[in-house]
Amino acid sequence: MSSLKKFAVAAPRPLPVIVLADTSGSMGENGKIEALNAAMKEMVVTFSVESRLRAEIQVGLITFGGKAKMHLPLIAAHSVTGLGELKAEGVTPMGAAFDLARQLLEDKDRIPSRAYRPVLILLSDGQPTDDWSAPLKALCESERAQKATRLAMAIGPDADEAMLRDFANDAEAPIFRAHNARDIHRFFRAVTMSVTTRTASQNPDLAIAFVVPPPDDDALDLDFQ
Amino acid sequence: MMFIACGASVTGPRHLDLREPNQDAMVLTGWRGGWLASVADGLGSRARSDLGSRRACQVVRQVLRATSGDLDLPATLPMMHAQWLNAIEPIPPRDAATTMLLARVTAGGDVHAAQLGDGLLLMRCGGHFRRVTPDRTGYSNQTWALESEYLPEKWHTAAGKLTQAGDGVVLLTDGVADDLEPDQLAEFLEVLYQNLSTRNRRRGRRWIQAELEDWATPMHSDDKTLVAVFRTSK
Repeated sequence: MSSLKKFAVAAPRPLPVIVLADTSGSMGENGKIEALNAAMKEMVVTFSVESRLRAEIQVGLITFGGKAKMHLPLIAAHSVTGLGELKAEGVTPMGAAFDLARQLLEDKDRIPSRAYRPVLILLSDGQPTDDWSAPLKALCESERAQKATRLAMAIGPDADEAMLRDFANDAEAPIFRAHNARDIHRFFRAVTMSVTTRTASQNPDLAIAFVVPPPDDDALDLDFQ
Repeated sequence: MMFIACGASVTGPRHLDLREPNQDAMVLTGWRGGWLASVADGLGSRARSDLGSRRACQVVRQVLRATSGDLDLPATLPMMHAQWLNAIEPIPPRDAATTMLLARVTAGGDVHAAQLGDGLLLMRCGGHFRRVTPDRTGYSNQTWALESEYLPEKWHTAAGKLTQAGDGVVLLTDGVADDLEPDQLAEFLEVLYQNLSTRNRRRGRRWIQAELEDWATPMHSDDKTLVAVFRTSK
């Protein structure tokens, strides 16, 4: 006689982490894109070894430089074989990236209802060049997408901080300002710590304190101009 | 009319690791030739949700025991909520928040059932399978629950009649419900019936308990509770 086990879903519950990364031309200045590439890789490697506790961490990467695209479809961190170098080029179609994020978050095939609350991370060093306000409103108000945790990082002095503040919704994490390449690493380490702590916690949906590690004392980084 | 009624609640691996109590609760009790059933899942983020879920099931039993043959279940829900608020005192409702699923089956096979929050409520009446629980609109662990305010619009209720062998009602907390293939729920209910109908109540409970303790989904961690009442004969 059949067991109930044959009706159990074979996949663990996912915890999706989706990065919206500005890869416009200005990100090519002052080592920003190189810092982003290195920090993203470090985060995915950490997720891949720590994603075996209470949830399977999945990573997705949407880039917007020239055009918005799904650079890395949402997959388990331990299955990511190569992230692919991000290149800085073109304008900043952030609104199109918001649309891609909303479509992903609303898609029950790609993110099932049994998934833990997704984390959406926006990082940008400049002003959007397309119509971003309507797509952001749609993202923040759509049925499922609005329930994701949204974090934001402003890179350098030209980032649109007002817009990034509108995007962020985590009371534990006001927008983070990256003044140099090392700050980008610090932000991603905080994201990594927050997500991995959630997967090991009693309730992976609970908000976890978002703590950005202090800069190294011997760090000698030039600030973004 | 004959019924088989079985249920079990097991502490999930997460709470076992932390040596914390099962935050699910259940009640399954005979009543005037029929059955009363309830399962509740205390919200994991709340300090006394284990107490909240236990009290919820006790209140269901207390309120439904006092009902007569004709039942206006939606009209009894505010009373259950009020009695739950009394039962958890002095714990603040927020700290004891819990989901609630309940069913009453009369000796004649009439079923009334209700649900607030996560979990699954399944019924089969006259051979027709029915999922009472609507599709979730968000992600896991984002649920409505018993708290300070009574939320009539968040409850789902259903009624039916168990007219043939294999008809029944099944209540599940989300530790099981979220890990079930959604398009196989009718078959799940049938397999549950086939297994329970060949066992007595004690062996049925042990079988459910073993199934829940040895759950197949990787990284499963939640507490798990399943209660079923099936008609077995005319």
